[in-house]
Amino acid sequence: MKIGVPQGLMFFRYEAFVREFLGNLGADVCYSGPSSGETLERGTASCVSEACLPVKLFCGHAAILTETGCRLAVPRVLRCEYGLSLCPKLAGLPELVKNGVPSSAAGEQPSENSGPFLFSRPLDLRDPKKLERQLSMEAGDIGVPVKRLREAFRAGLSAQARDRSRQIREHQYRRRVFLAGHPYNVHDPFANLDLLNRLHRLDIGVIAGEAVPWHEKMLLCRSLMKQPYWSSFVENYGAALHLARERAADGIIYLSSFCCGTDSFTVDMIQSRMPQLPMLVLKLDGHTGEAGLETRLQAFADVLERRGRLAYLSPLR
Amino acid sequence: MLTFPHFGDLHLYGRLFFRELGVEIVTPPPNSRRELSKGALLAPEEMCLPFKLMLANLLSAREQGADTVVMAATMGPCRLGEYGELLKAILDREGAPLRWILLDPPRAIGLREVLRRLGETVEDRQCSWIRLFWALGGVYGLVRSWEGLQAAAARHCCCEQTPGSTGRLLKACRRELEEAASLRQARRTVRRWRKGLPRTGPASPRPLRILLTGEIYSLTEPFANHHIESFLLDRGVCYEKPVTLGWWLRRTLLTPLGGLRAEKRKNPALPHCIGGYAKETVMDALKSRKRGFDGVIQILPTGCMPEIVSKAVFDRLSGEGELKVLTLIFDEMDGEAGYLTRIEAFLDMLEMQKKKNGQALLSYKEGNR
Repeated sequence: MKIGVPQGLMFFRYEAFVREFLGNLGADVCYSGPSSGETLERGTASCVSEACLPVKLFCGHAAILTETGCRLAVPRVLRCEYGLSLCPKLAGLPELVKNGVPSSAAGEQPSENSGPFLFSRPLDLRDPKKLERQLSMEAGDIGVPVKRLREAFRAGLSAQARDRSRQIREHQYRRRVFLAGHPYNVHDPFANLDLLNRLHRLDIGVIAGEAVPWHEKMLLCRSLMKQPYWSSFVENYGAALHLARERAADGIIYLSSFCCGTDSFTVDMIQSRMPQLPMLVLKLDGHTGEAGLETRLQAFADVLERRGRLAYLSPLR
Repeated sequence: MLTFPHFGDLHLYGRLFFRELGVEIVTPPPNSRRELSKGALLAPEEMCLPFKLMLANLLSAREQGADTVVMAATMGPCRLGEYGELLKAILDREGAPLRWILLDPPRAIGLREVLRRLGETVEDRQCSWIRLFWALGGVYGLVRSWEGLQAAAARHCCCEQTPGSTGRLLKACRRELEEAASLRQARRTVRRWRKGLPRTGPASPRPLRILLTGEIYSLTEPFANHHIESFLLDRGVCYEKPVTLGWWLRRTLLTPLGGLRAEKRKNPALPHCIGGYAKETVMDALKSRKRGFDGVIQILPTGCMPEIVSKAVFDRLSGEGELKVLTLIFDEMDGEAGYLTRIEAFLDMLEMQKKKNGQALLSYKEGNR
């Protein structure tokens, strides 16, 4: 059986694990490839209209993959590896995708209790043992021995632990900004209109939230009235606080998708905590007009430049 | 002085409860257009509607002299659990700080901490513990009987003699409850009005039955759903609303394992809890067909994360012809005509379908009378 992997949403965060795990399984794996205009078009057509851009892109990947006759892997991730919640839409992802993909086209005949997709049993990434058990329930569906699946799982875990590709911290540019947002917005050049290269052209380097160690971020969230329960909130709020304290970033660019529930909260929390740091909020909604984005980035670069000069002259520095 | 944001009829119960205890509270002014624009001005643009209304409530309450807020919170993954944090940040920024008592679930902060916070809520009461528990029981009784009255009105509104009389009865009763001097008097009021409801059979041969479901705040707070309930009442459409304040109390507080039981319950279309009450929404809708409902109206505020998933499920089910669902998404726009037109068109469609295969549906009616 062929396993189809849509390259969207949490794939960007757990890419190393997914590639290593599925590669070692010995099954036939088919990746959907990077997002493109076609992905967006198909996603918009097949997804519920209120969903955000990344979910639509994921649905687009899924719709394209179903045509190749693969059985889709649509994970239902309830908790991240640190035990915090993700967005409710990720927990209901199989339902969202099922809406757009006709059930007859969703690969081979599904078995009794697993639905049309692979890995759509609830996954809790906090406890590796539990995750291993949850994943090995799928062994029968995929048609590989449980033992091989467990070995592949272990290889995948160590690959994920070794992976440093998302911990971006660029020092060779004149200014540096903290690029906040969900990994599927920050690391998908199609969704964010190739933002990283645009910033490099303006001589601005990028620091990603993953470059700050998790415990530092958690520590800074202690001062809140209530322990936060979203992983993306800790990821961005904690990292913003940490980088501001270290004076490592000259500003913040927040890449948010239109109608994102967690971001609407996080953006305002960062702003009310750090009113002194320049912050640019970019909303991604699937429009591909580049001129507006370019103008806003240039204006933001000017702000950084001006503030940098003022800070240099200031005696309080 | 204590205050709390509006949540349906919570202010009715809260006022009577704290009066029984001798604690002074501030009830924020009722939600209105002016209040909403006050909240929308300060809240983040993409935050959901309940947040904007709650922010306005707290600002107004603070102007009236409140200094402490009590609010129930959840542990996600829906936004409602983080409301307190952001409300605090915004109020602090606006120079209107308040003391916060967040009632988190025991799972997150431990039972002892929950009890401590609950104790904090009633720390300046002038009565004994026994009287406190008596008042708690009394309030719950009032919640049940008042919601029972509303549910009965929704069931019987199709058989009223003069159109609109049921809606007027509910309004009059609510007004009396708002002015009631004590819990006992309030419960007596509800009992008296209950007798005024028509008990005769339906006037039209086959009344339309609608299930109202969706996001809990939008369902319970009439301003957040453009008074859809009184609209349905006045049109003589029977409806049922399973998600209410009393339902929430029963599920989260009175049955400690309620959440666990909800997770265990089977739901073929949305098998796992994903936050909010999306699973319950879908489940009620799935059951509604068997129980003889003609259609489902789903209500949610813009950008509500869990309900978007249930909308996706509804889209598929209604595409396959299993359910008839109208989804209404509410935001700050207050143009009512568009919503009413859509609801009326939906009702007309259901009525027409009902006439078409009327015979088949007669049997359902017998079972539910």
